[in-house]
Amino acid sequence: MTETGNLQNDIPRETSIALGEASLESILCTEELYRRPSRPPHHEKENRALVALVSALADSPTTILQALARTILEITQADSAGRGLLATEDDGRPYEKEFIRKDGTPVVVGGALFETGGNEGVAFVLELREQKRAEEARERLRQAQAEIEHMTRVMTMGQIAASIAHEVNQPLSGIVTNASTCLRMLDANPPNLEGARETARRTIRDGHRASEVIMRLRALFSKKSVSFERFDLNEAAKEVIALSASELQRNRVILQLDLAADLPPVWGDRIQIEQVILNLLKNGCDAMRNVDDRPRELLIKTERDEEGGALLSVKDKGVGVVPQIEQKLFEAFYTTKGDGMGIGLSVSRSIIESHHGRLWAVRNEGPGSTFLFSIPSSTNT
Amino acid sequence: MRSQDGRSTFHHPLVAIVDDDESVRESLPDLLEELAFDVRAFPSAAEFLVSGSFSQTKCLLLDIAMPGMTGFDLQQELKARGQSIPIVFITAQRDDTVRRLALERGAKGFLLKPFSDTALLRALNEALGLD
Repeated sequence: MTETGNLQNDIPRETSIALGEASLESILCTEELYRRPSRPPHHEKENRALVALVSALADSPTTILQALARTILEITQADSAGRGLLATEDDGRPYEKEFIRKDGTPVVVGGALFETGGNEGVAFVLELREQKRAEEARERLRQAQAEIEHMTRVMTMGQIAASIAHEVNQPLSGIVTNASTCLRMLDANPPNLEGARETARRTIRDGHRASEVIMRLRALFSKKSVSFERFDLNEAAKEVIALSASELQRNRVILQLDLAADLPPVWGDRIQIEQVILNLLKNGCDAMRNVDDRPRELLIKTERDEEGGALLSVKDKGVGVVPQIEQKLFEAFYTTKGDGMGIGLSVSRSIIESHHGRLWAVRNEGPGSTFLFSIPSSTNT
Repeated sequence: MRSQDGRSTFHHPLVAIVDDDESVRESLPDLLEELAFDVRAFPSAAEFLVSGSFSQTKCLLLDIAMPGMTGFDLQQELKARGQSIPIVFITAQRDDTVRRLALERGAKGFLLKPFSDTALLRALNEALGLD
């Protein structure tokens, strides 16, 4: 058992599961639990780095407790880890307790059931030292994020399905109306053949529209390996806008575009960047959901930035972001929304960073916020 | 596309459509004409208000989610102006609370897009008291 920094090595091998292997549900559930802390955090100012998951899928909570007890005994100074030390709360909220590791540093060990009365749960170990940046821990988190990034496209099937439904509803409505008209025109006395032809043509046209939208949305949401190419950020923005037109319309959002004509081409994965743009667009839209006293204007702007790269900004006129949570927005899994997992901004930021760019937010002078990202042009990579 | 004129307005009640969706304004008027209505289509509530066709409009097919003045806003405005044109809302929003709200505020009908021609006819006849 090592005494130096690497917590990962301290976990007894039979109870430790690398984050890449841990079931994704356990990662997500743990983060879910941490979004709704059952008690005030012990150390509000300290980084709580999720260093390791000791995941126990068992047919009884006892297994989780056993894994925890073993962990406590092996890495902390506690010399007994009786059941009383770490009983999980009945309502499934996470229970955590601070221990002192053998090297004297504080550590938090805890566990929780995924649901009240359920059997599956997760045990976890948290590093409390603010400065601690174990390379292995960061690597694990990066791996987990990559998995989650993939899962975002798959786990939020409900959101993807809703998106597609919104966008095809318009052509579908056109199809039903035009075909209904067509039948009536054929039943008229005498039949209105020219009218029937025209409505049948519109029906076919709308069918193609629907099919194309579905195809483009699926391309946007599909997982594929990252492939970098040279592309135009303006075109990427227009594609995303075209694919969310109905939803923007449904939310009464007035879109304004200010796309720079001299924008340099960029180097990156176009689909990933489009996902980031979509994320920012949806956030801007959501921010204005309850705005009724002013037009719901969303401004998408591109421009050349100081380093010669491309900068894209999405400015809304929503309720804005309170300064205290401005930074938290980018933390993995932080969300103020009831639905999704709030992964969007965190994943968006890592996508942009993997493009050697930056993603950040500023408060507007008027109402609302502006989210911006810049990525280098294809000439200076 | 429109059939010949020479019909009295009594037998072909004037229906106004207010919807910012171009595809609706393209397809719905033809269907309404096949159903023996006269039609005028407007891309916004504001345009309907300045059109001055209130007295002839026998029924209003109204979208809800529109930028600027919404369908509910227009309903409110018409009430404020003492206009009692029967309103049938047409919307893609599958939200029960929206439906309830619309009916509470005196709408004569509520149709979810896409709607069949029979549902449309039924709603119009009910709104016009022709059933």
